[in-house]
Amino acid sequence: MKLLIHLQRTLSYSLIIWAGITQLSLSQDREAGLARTHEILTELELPTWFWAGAHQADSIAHYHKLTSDDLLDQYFKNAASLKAQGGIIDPQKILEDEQLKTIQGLIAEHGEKSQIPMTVFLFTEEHSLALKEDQLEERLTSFFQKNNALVTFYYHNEALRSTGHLIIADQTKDQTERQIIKNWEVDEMFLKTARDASVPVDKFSQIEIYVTELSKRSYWIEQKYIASPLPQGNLADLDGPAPVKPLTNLEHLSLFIEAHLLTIVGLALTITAITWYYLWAKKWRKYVLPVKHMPRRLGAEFGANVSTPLEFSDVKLSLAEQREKARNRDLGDL
Amino acid sequence: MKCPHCLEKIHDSADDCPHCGSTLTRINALYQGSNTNIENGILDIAGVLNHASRKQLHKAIQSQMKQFVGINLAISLISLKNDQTLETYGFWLINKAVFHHNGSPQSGVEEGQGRVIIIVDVENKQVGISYGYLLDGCIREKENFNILSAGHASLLEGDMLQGSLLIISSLKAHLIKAVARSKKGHKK
Repeated sequence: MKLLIHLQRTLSYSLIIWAGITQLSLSQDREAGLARTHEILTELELPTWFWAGAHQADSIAHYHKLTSDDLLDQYFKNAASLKAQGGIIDPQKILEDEQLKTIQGLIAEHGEKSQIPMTVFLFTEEHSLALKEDQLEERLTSFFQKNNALVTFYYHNEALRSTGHLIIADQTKDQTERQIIKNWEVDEMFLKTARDASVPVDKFSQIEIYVTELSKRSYWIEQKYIASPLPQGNLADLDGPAPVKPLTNLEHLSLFIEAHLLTIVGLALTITAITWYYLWAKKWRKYVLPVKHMPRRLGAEFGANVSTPLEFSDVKLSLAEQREKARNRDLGDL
Repeated sequence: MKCPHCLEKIHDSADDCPHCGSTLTRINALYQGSNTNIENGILDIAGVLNHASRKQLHKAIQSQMKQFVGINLAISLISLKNDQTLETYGFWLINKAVFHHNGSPQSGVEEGQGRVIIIVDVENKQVGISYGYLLDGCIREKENFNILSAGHASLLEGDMLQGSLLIISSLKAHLIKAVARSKKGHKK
């Protein structure tokens, strides 16, 4: 009997370790990932059991129950009702109504500012999520088919155990498919959020701090991964928002003109008025030569100054040559 | 200054040319009996302009010169004979011509001294400009050359109207410069 219990425990421990590894998304480069994880954990000063190595599995499995398929199905039952649930999935009714409304309010507030709505899967501290990486990915991508999502599996009153995933539109596939972002920046975001939420603060529950911190920390991740400046996938659009195309240069220009129409028209009118006034003044300007008292020349009353003539007799001669020709002609006698 | 007959340099206040003895009285003999009535700025003795061309030229003279106070512009198209030169004719015409505007003759020393006459000798194929005392020395010799050059191509082609219009337009531009220069010199 003892042997049977021992075998069962060993099997459970292995499963939990596997789930822990997969949930922290280390599939791309496991060696580098492990090293980086230890760096983060050292930096965060988290308890060592948080990163579940084989030798720590005893304590985890000893205290926590693995989630059954039936229970998980309750969590992933109806994506359409997510909006009605206010972004928090709590089939076990862990939170009281008042607290639930507070968290829903925080999630809604995040949804107003962010293009990646937040979804919290709430578990009791007794539970531990037991899913392989591919199973989890399948459930998440099918659950969030139409929307970006900032998903967290939150264990009530044990924020340090919470894990999270970022699901956004696959930019390479015309935004029709969703993918889980496996990136250390994302892991770091969830780890640091968990760390901050684990520090008790007066009047605020752990989950309130967690949601608030996650909302704040997700801003920079969102800036990196969401290229389009227009909102998409907000809580309000959970029923299936149409993808928004980025604005073209022409559209940017028309928006600019629309916004600055009055200034542009004013400027154009001013320039036109100045130009018109300049041309008008130039056209009507009077030129007056100062009167000179010239001495009379050769008995002439009005004037005696004649320019050197210019000939236009020969097309082959240059202008200067034609002038010289006129200058050197026979002048005749009086 | 140059003598309009022998083109030798003479003093600004010479009563007669010390080189050839020319005076207005002696040159007058060369053009005895010539038409001196310039109607609306045009004296077409050569008869090269038709009615439409005269009208167009008159309009151009009026519009281009209305900004210049005291300046009367005219254009004379003539066929000069032997012993007659463009210089002597210009000298004679500027002093002897009677400017008519819409039928009424203009008179007075100020009106006379503000005269500018473009002379086109269609027979000898020469063009020149004669100035009254108001513009004496205002337009430099090089500028005169530029003014006349403006219409040279058209005159070469025998288009007297277009050539005259271009010369008038260029004259206007140079007169504006001359006014600015005169004012500057006057202030100094």
